[in-house]
Amino acid sequence: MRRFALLLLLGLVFLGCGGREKREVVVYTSTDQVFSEPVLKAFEERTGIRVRMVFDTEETKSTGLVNRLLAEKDRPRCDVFWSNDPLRVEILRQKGVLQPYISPNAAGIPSRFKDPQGFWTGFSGRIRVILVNTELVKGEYPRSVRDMLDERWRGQFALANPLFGTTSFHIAALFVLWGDEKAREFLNRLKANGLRLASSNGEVAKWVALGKVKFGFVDNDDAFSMMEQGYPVKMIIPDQDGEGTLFMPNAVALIKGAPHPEEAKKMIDFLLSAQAEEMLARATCRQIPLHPGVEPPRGLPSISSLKTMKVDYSEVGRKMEEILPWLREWVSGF
Amino acid sequence: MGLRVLKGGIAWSLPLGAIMVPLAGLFLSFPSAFSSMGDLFKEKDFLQAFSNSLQIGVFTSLFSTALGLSLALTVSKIALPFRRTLGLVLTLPLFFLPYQFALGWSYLLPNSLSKFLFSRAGVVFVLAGCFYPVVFWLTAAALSSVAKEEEESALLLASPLRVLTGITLPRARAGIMTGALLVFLLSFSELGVPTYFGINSVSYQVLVRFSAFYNMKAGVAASFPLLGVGIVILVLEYTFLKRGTGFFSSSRGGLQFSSPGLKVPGLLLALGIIFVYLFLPFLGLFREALDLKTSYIALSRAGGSLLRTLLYSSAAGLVAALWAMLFARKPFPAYSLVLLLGFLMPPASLAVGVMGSWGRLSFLYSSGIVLVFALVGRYYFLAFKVMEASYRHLDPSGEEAAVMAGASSPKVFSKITFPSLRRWAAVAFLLVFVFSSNELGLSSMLYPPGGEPLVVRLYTLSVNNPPAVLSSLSLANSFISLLAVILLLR
Repeated sequence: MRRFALLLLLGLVFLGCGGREKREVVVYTSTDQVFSEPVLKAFEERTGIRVRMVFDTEETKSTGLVNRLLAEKDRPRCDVFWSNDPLRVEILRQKGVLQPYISPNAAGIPSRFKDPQGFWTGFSGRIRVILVNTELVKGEYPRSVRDMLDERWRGQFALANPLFGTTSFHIAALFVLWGDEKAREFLNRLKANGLRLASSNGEVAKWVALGKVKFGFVDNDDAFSMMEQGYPVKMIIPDQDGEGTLFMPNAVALIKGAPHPEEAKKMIDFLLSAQAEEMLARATCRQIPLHPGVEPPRGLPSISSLKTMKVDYSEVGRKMEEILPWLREWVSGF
Repeated sequence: MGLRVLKGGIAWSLPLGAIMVPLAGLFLSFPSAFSSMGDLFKEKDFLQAFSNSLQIGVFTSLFSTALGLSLALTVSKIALPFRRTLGLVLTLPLFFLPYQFALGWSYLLPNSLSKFLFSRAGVVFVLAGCFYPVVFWLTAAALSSVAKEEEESALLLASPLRVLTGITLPRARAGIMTGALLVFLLSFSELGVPTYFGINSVSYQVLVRFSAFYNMKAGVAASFPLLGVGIVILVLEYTFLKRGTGFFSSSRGGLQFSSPGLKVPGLLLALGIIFVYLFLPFLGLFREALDLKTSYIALSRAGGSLLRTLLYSSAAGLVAALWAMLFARKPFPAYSLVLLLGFLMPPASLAVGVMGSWGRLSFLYSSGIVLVFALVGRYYFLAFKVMEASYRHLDPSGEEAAVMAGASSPKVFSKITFPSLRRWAAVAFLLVFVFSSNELGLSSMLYPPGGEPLVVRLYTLSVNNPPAVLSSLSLANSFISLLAVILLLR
């Protein structure tokens, strides 16, 4: 017992003493580890700067890191936050956690994907898509968010909880695009048409893949993941003859008081480079690049030929905060 | 006097550092959180959540106690073949996250049947399968503490059933009740399973406030009802268990049902529960995961996190079990209540409190030590309740005789008390170890950059990876706990 305790103590001291190298950068990322880790490792290989990573989990609704950054605000230990959507960095900007940095590599990125003051910059992104089970749906596939109101899909479609993650982003964007009254009516009619509410996008994709529902709204990386695992599913990009689908860029930001500011800037430059966008386009997540010269991923159009919702991300962020109390009541009715 | 003060100081140092200081910092940061708790109960949504959590807690506790007690009696009191192996297999559900069982059941059942799961009854059914091993362990430990001489004397005059109901079960009451209490608290505060099945719960309400609204004050306020219910349960427990029970003896001998007619039903009960609560959900979860190559790659990359889990959880288990063993005999007033605060406080609140209070000490904060500290703060309560129950089963006459013969207190403790209670101490260590290994909320908030434990790796890698990655890492995580059980309970 005593030997065991001594070993434990030594182990903890060892753990506590680890990682004191000077050239390092601490990155928190809510982008799935399977996609973000290779990009961060590529940076490490290229620059020799050690990257210490902290990832988020879907079980904490990809918001654990935002809470962690808020709690660490007075004594930051993170240098760079790589978010999988621009809304969380917008929240951090409002709460004073970020400092501006305009990377030279951000020049080629369209201005609507950047914060005007340089608090965050967008790069490669995902879109909201419809995932259909091809064994259950034999006729015409759903092609619009409005198709969820169709009587023939009653009780056969799913959406993730709109209080969290990219679904909250999607619903807030609809509120901005349609106005409050129309969007609320839409959500109430969805409920009346038997919407199945899942705990996450991953679960929606799994339900479709296993035939628990006929279709559901997910992000394109969830859809490709199911397709590559061989499930009988097909991805539809919705509303291409209407108002377009929601495009959700990644966003990278420098933390105020970052312990390694120079390394952090190098990391941001790398993430905003064409090379990083290429890596994310070729990975399973098939993210759509924003740099004009980078080829789009297989099976997806380029950002210029994709019809996307014309929304201002800061406005969507503000709207999300505004509608959350109403959404909470809406969710409680399930 | 000086010794008493020293003892008190050491006893309180752990809950003070790991619970009171972080939570005091948290409440000072949000001073109006307590007063805004009243407003919560005006919200229909929160009232419904509170009622759901209460029902889930009560019925899961009853169901788990029925299962755990039956199994403990079967394995301890009927001469079954392979009873040690059966006992080990029956504890396996505890090593997996309840959320994984929810996934397993929902993937396994066809649509028509899975509708049952999306209800309070469904949540109770799944959670009972996850938590019955708590009652099983504690009841088995309590049964092994019942005096065989007393049972044997009674057997001369009464039937085995009469001895069981008149002597054995009343003597094991403390262990059974403690198990039931812990299951109630675990299921009442459970987040993953009710949320997955769409059932509004108090923990979900806390999550919404933290993670959708980023409103820490509201999140902290929503945590108070959890604490209130916990305090009521503690008071009830003390009311029922205020009298000491039983005498200590070895686990061999005493009441044993040797009738062959009981072996078959006993074996069927144990195997039936293993089939329903272990085989079926795992079939749902792992049937797509038979990809050895992917599993090998995932495991070979998980070496560091496996080692870290072992270290963090062992350290938390060791500290909690040691402190509990030393100080659970005559608890200081309000000691349990403070520990309950740490146990029922949502992990996000506790983590924020730990960051706020201990973040200034960079040697603590930039290493895994801060995580161990927080794990102890959260799970010391479990170890303490187990050891408190163990002292209720301890026959003091051996110690008294040793003292009268002139033995010193440390000698009495090391030669008589500790050997008598070592099975209980092992259970206390294992409970803290197992729950620490599976603790996602605290770990994801506090692990040092680049130093993630296995449970975090499991959930960061499970998204958009083949199912084999999730299943192999999940099995590796539970294998660590199983190894600890085999080593300590052999």
